[in-house]
Formats: sequence, structure tokens, C-alpha cells
Amino acid sequence: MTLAHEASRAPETGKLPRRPQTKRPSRRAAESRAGYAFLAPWLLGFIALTAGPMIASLYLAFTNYHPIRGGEWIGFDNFTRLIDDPRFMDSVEVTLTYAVVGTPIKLAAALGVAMLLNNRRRGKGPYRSMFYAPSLIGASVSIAIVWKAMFNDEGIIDDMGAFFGTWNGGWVGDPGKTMPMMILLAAWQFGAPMVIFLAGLKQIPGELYEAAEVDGAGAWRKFTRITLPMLSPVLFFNLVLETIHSFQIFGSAFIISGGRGGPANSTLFYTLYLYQRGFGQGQLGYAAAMAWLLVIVVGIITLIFFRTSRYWVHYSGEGR
Amino acid sequence: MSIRKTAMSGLALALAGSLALTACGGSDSDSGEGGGDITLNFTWWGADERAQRYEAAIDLFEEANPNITVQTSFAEFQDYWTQRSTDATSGELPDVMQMDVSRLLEYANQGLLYDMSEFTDGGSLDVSQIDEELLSSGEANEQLVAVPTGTNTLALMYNPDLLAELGIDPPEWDYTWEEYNDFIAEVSAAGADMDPQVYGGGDYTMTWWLFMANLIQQGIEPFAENGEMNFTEDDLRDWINTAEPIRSPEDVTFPAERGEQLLPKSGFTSNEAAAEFHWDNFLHSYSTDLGSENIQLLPLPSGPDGQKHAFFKPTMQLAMGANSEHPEEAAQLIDFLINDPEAGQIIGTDLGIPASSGRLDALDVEEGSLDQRIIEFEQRLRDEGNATATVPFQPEGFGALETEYVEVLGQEFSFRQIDVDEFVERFFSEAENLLVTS
Amino acid sequence: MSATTLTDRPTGQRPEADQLQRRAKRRRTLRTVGFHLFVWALLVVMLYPGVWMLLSSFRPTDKIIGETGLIPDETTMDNFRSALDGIGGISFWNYFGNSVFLAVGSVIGVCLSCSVSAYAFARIEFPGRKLFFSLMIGTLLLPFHVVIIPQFIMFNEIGWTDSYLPLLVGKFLAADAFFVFLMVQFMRNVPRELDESARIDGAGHLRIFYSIMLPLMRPVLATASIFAFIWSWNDFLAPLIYLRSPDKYPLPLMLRQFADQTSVSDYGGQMAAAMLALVPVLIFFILFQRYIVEGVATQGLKG
Repeated sequence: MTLAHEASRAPETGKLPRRPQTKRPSRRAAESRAGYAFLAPWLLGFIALTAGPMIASLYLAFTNYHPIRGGEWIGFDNFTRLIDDPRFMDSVEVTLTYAVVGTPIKLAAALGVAMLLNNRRRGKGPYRSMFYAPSLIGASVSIAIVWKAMFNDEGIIDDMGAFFGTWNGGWVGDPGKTMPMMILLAAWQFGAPMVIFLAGLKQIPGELYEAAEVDGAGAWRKFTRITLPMLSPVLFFNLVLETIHSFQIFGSAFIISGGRGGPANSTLFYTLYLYQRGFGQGQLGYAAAMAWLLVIVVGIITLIFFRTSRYWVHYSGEGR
Repeated sequence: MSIRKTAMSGLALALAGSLALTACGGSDSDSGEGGGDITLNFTWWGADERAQRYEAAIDLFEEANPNITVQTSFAEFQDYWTQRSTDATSGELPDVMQMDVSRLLEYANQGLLYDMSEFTDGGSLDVSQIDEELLSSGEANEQLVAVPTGTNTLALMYNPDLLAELGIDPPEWDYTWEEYNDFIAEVSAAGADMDPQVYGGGDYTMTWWLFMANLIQQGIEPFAENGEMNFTEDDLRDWINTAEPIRSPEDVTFPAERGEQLLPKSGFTSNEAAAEFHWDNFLHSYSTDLGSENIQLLPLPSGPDGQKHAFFKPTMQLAMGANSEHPEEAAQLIDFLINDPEAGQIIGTDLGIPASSGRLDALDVEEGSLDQRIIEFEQRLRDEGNATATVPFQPEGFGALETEYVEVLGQEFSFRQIDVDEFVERFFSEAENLLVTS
Repeated sequence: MSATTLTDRPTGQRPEADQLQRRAKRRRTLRTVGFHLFVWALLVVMLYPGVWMLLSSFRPTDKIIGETGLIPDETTMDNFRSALDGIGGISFWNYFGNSVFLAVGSVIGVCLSCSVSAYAFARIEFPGRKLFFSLMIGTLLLPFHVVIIPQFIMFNEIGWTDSYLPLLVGKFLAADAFFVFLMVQFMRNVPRELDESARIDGAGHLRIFYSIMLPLMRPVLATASIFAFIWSWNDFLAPLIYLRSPDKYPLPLMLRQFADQTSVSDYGGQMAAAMLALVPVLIFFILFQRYIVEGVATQGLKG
């Protein structure tokens, strides 16, 4: 699961060619010491806060553990139960739809606005804040009421539909339309990837564009030949992160349906179902099994991203 | 091979050790307060209004007991149980906490709750003024693990203003389920042209407690002491079909879609449904949401024998964590909260109609208030001889099963994603996972 | 890659006549106006829900749900009054202060621990680096629910419940892989020649990190700070599980206390308090966002 580049890059770049060969072993040892010293906080956190609890929950996945009752080893029962659980299947479908459809829309919105803002020198700051504002509002507990009001009968979306004559009535309460609502809610909060895109765009030297203009390159060509390749590490980062996040979406899913996943399971996201089982019903073993399944699936997807990254991600800081 | 808390905490301890070695900054020292000063933790679910009442009552308690400090906290219902179940994982429940009958056994069966009987025989906790029947709902494994604060009962709330507007009379006191169906159909027909459209009410069969009440009306005690279900798949199917006459024709029952749009309010509190079944103590929040105090109460429809078989449920209970270091004082606090007349005046009926008869008598209710309406309603139920049943036994897992019925299957059914047979089938297969039988 | 070939092209040899320049200038002004109009149109769409929320916080509490229009039929200040009154006898500012403390603590913890760890991943060769890096990425994949219970038991054993330690210790131990990953990605784009030349001058890792890398990391630290601040500000699950004393609660827990399904709820107060809770994050964002885009380019470090 390592960065493909990590493997392909020549490991010798950090070595000092002028040093005599005999000193290399001790240098290497010093390097290792430094490495571990720098890594110490993370390493400790990893062992105590992540690895340990993860192993504990892996164990739980094979039990019917209940926070109050305790539990016992039941082998693969949790996993076989999952297959027959219609709500589990609903939650998989909901989450996959959200990740596959929602992530590209959100990233496209983020990149579009980031480029729009990056082009200009003045007045950008306030705009940037304003475009980020939805991401702040989106996490608020009141967002459920707000979003509902937008999409309810006689809400703004209904009015727009009536104006254009395209649709009739609000979207709320129709299980078929709650997913578009959720995706719009996510896309609306494109602030985080936008900020990261902006930071990335800022690092693309302006001369590249000037040179391209001299060559008579149009906007599209500049975008595909300069922006995209130069931005690819950031794009990669955003893509991996947003995909993982959309698989793990919890906060807004929880708030928007009050933790219920309704109407009729249409917003029953995977982690929400996991939470319902684990904390609502105390089936921690079952929830742990679900969590580990998610880890594996997201792990595979991430691995695919990393494995293919060598073909399309361009790092400027190295390998020149 | 059983992994109880010991296994988990062993693992945790190992991890904790590795962490403690490197912990940045010292840990909070357990504030061991000396000098006879005692701190009790007390927690409940609710919102600001309940908090204000409790806080004011506790101020009185602290005044009367200067050596006791009460640390209060509260959370919204769902959050509350998340917190309590994490507390239970570590075996550290609050000294005094609000409890619900549907969850009681979950905690009691693991020995997490303190047996209060040692304080009741002339001790600091006086339960003599509580109806024995009611008190017994707080007993588990021959221990007294919870004391009821008050009672509530199922009722039909209706909106007289809305009905007057439509020119329809509310049902009679001794109406039946069939008559209720007719009532709904009548209101919905009259309200069809209103904007927004007004309905009689929703599909009541998706309310778990009405199912329980209906079983009791048929003489079926829903659950046995060992946690087994006493009702069959056919009982459940028949119950759901009770509402078939108003469900199958279009536009008679309140649509689930509209209900979803109105959340967190209901059709009733949005002035779009004329009637709704609920516990009578919800009158307060319903009247706040509706923005009108004019809501009236009726009992449930009568069963096949023409009787109501109504029962009083403890609205909520107070329990003590078995781990409490100050059980004596905790019992004192509970006693104060359920018996003290002054505290009772502050708390009112927020925790249900007071369980303690002494307090109920002392309660000075304002003429025409919501409190008075609830008290009179419950009194009339007793006077008319309607309250003949007892609150059904709620086995371990009852709360989870209720959630499954209402939030999961009820939702899918209301949105027509599953039919009656699928509902029944899935309910019984989930029950296997959720109910703890012995 | 194409981008690199383009760099090699000669620049600044444009044949420019005066007339052309003037026309270009006019076009530029037009385009600027067009740009602002377009952005404002976008913003209206984007900010509509926020404005609705703001205006709704002035609606009487029983009108908030159900009224879908933008302009309230009637307005009241009651919601803000009840929000500022606090809840359960604890003032709004108490919750507010707790939130600030937690958020600032998170920012400090994240910036310290994650930058150091990221440096190890990005710039130091040591055995096991690749493995640890993979593990670090792996922790990104873990839904946090699954570690919550074991973590809770652990923190409870060391007596940290009802304190801020469980909420902050992870930040100081770089447990948020997102930030480490973000910083590693950033450092990878910093030209290696910079630290190599410093090493030739005899600088150790600590010096390189402190005097070369850290100053360059301003933008990424700003990004991380903003996210760390906002996430901490909005987090409700961890405080819900670890905190028991209401005077230690941060704002999200206060907000949730306004509404309860079993008793009288105050949606108006909740909306107003949510509005007030937004102000500091907005300010924080406005203050720090300018650092984000102060990219490497402005530091005179174009590879």
C-alpha cells in the first residue's frame, strides 16, 4: 500500500557522495536513529491509539460482544449474518452510489472554483472564504432543518422546478430523491478539496502558462497539458481522501436523518448502520465485523489508486 | 469461552501502560474530596426545560444537605444511551440516573444497578406512597433496581380546532378500532381540499406500543418472563391488517412522505393531521410544537370485549449505579426527587404524573393547564374502570426490538418497500438476534 | 512530461503593439467585470442555505420547521436570548470557551506532531519506513467507530474520562493520518536540492527540519490548522463519549441539548446557537486562509 513512487525512486539521493565509504554504516545508523526519533510521536500514537484498538476490534468481529452483556466467540457468524441482512445490503448500495457519483462531482466543483479563484489576483480572499462557508455550515446540527427547507415543497428547489417547469414538488420524503439531496449536500461543501487545490495551483509556476500562451495554446490545452499534470499530486491526494471519506461519511449522514437513515433506508450509509448496530443496539461484535469489512474494501480501493498512481501522478520535487 | 470485561480491560490495560509511559502532561488526579463532602453524579435525558426543573429541585436538595454536592448532566435521548452504554462498558455508571423500563433489564441483569431495597424498609428511601404494581416494574432478579418517577398512559391526542374547522366530531370515549378507522377516513375526506391537505391520522399499526396494547386487549401478555414472545406471526399480521381499510385507499392515512418532510415535527404538530396516538405526557412537547394548548385526550379504542384494558407505564425511573460509592446519599436524592412536595411543585408532571400519591395530592395544578388535563385524563381512566391491565413485561432487548419495529420495519413498510408478510418475517428473524432469552 | 517541455520554451518575446495592448486592456476590464458577476451568481447559489439559516434563527421557534421561504413572516430575538442564556445553567460562553480550548489544543498538537512525523516519512531513510508509511495510510481507512470502544476502555483505565486528555492526546501523537499524509505530499514537492545543500554544510535533520522545512511548510501548516480547528470545533461523538460534566462540554454537545425527542425541544434556540457557533470558525478561516496560498513560489524557491 505504499506510494508507487516511493519504490521507484532512487534511494541514494540523500547520501553524500563525498564522504568516505567507511563511514557509511555509522551514518546509516545515525540516519535510522533520526528517523525513529522524528517518527516517535506517530509511532506511539499508532501503537496505543490505532493498532491496539484495531486488533481489539478485529477480535470483537468474531464475537457477539455487547457493551453491557459481554459476549463470546462465535467464529464467522457475524459475517454470514451480514450476507442475509437486507439493511446491510441497502447500506452498501447507498454508500457505493454516494462514493461513485458524489466524489467526482464534489472534486469537479472544487477544482472548478479553485481555478476560477486562482486566475485572479485581487478580491480573491473574501470569495475564498465565502465559498468555504458552506463547509462550515454543513457540519452544523441545524443543517438537517436547513437542507430540508431547501428541498421541501415550496422550498427554493421546488420553486426553481416550477419556474423552469422541469419538476414538481419538493424532494424531501421521496426515497428516490434523497440520494441526490445527499450528493448535493456533499458537493456544496467542496471547501476542503478547494483549499487544497488552491494551494496546489499556487505552486504551478506562472511561466508555464505564459510559455504555453506564446505557443498559442487554448484554455483547454493549458488545462490538460499544464494544470492537470502539475496538479496531479494534489488531485491524487484529494481523490484518495475524498473517496475514503465518502465511504466513511458519518457526521452529515447522522445529522441529516437524525441517525435513522431514512426515509426507508435511503440515507442508511454504511457507517450509520454500523453505528446503529453498535451503539443503538449494542451489537458491537456485528459492528466490528462491518467495520473490518469496510477497512478491507476501502483498503483494496486505495491500493488500486496507489498502484495506478505512477501512470498519472507527477511529482515535481523529485526525479528530475 | 466468554470474554467479559476482564479480557477487554486486560488488553486495554496493556495499551494504557504503553500510553501512560509517554503521556504528555500529567493525568487528571481523581479528585478525592475529603472532609465528609460528598459528590453525587446525577444524569438524565431531556432538553433545557427539564434541566431547569431538575436544577431548581437539586438546589433545594443541596440546601437541605449541605455536605452533598450534586454534579448534574443531561443529554438528548439517543446520546444519553450512547453515554450510558459506554459507562457500562467500564462499569462506571452515575450514582443516580434516569432509567427506562425498556432498557432496565439490560443493565440490571449484568448487576450494574444498585439494589435499593436496603434503603426502603424504613430507610432513607420511602416508596410506601407508590402503587405496588407500579413499583414492581422496577424490580429485577428479586431486587429493587429502579423507582418510578411518574406514570403515563397511551392516549389519542386530537386537535379540536382542526376538527371544528372540518365540522367533524371527535370519537366517543368508548370508540372501537373500527370506529377509529372510520373517523380517520371521515376527516381525511373532509380535509382533502385544505391547503395543506389535512388527514385524520397516520398508520397507527406502525406504532410498537399500540401493538403491545392491542395484544393486551386480546388477553395476550406480549412477553414471557424468560424473554420469549407470547404472540405469533399471525397475531402480528392481524394487527397490521387492522389498519388495512384506511391504508389501501389512496389519501386516507397520513402519507409517510409528508411525515418525512415535516420532521422533526409530526403531521399532528404541524396542523396537518387531526389525531395521533402517543403517551399522554407528550402533551407538553406537542403543544409547544403545535403552538397551541388546545389538544384534548382520549383513551385508546376498546378491544374486542369492549374494554380498554389500559395500563399505566412508569414514564421513567430513577436508578443507581451499582458502583456508587455513596449509595446512602444517592438513595436520599432519589427519595427527595420522588417524594419531596416542594421538589414536586418544581418538577410538575415533567416526569409523568407523580408516582408518589402524597406528592400527587400535594401538587398544586393550575386550572386549565396541560398538567391538569393529563391528571384528569388519567383519573377518568381509573374512574371509568378502564385501567385494568398492567404494564407488560419488557424483556432484555425490548428497547432494541421496539426500535427495529418503528424505525426500521415501520419505515420500510410505510414507504411500501416491504409488504405485511415481509414485515412479519423480518421482525421475527430480528427478534431472534435482539431478544435475550433464558 | 508535457509540463516540463513547456518550461523550456523561451518566454517574453511577444511582439506587442500599443493598439493591441489597449484593446487587450479593455477586454481585461470587461473580463474582470464578467468574472465578478459570475462569481457572485455562483455565490448566491452557494450561500442561499446559509442566509436562510441566518434569517431562520430570527423566526419564532414553532415556525422554524415548516416555513420554507427565505424571509421570515415574523421575527423575534428570543432564539438568541435563549441561546446566549446557555443550557442547564451553564452559559453559552462556558461552552464556547471549552470549544476554543479544544480547537486550539488540536491545532497545536497537529502542527507539532504531524510535521515531525511527516518529515521522517518524506526525508529520512530508515528501516521500516515503507512499512510504517503503509500502516499510516492504512489508519486512514479505519472508520473511527471501530476503535472507539477499545479506546474508551483504555482511557477509562488510566482515569482520563471526563477530561480533555482523550480528546487531545491523539492530536499530539499524530493519530490523524490525514494531516501526516497531507504534509508528506507537500514535502515531496519541496525540491530535495534544498536540504541536500544544507546537509553538505553539515546540518543535521533537526536543523534542516527547523530552519528549512518548517518555514517552507507555512501553507500546509495553515491548511492543517484550519481543518484541525474546524474538525475539533464540530466533533460531537468523541466529546459525547468521553465527557460527563456539562461544564466541560464543547458547543456541539450544547447544541444537541436543545432538542430531545421525549420532551420539549427548542429548535429556535438551537438554530441561533448554531449560528453563533459558526462565527469563530468563519473568523478563524478568514484569518488563516491567506497563508494557505502563500505557496512555495513566493518564497523564491522555484526548483
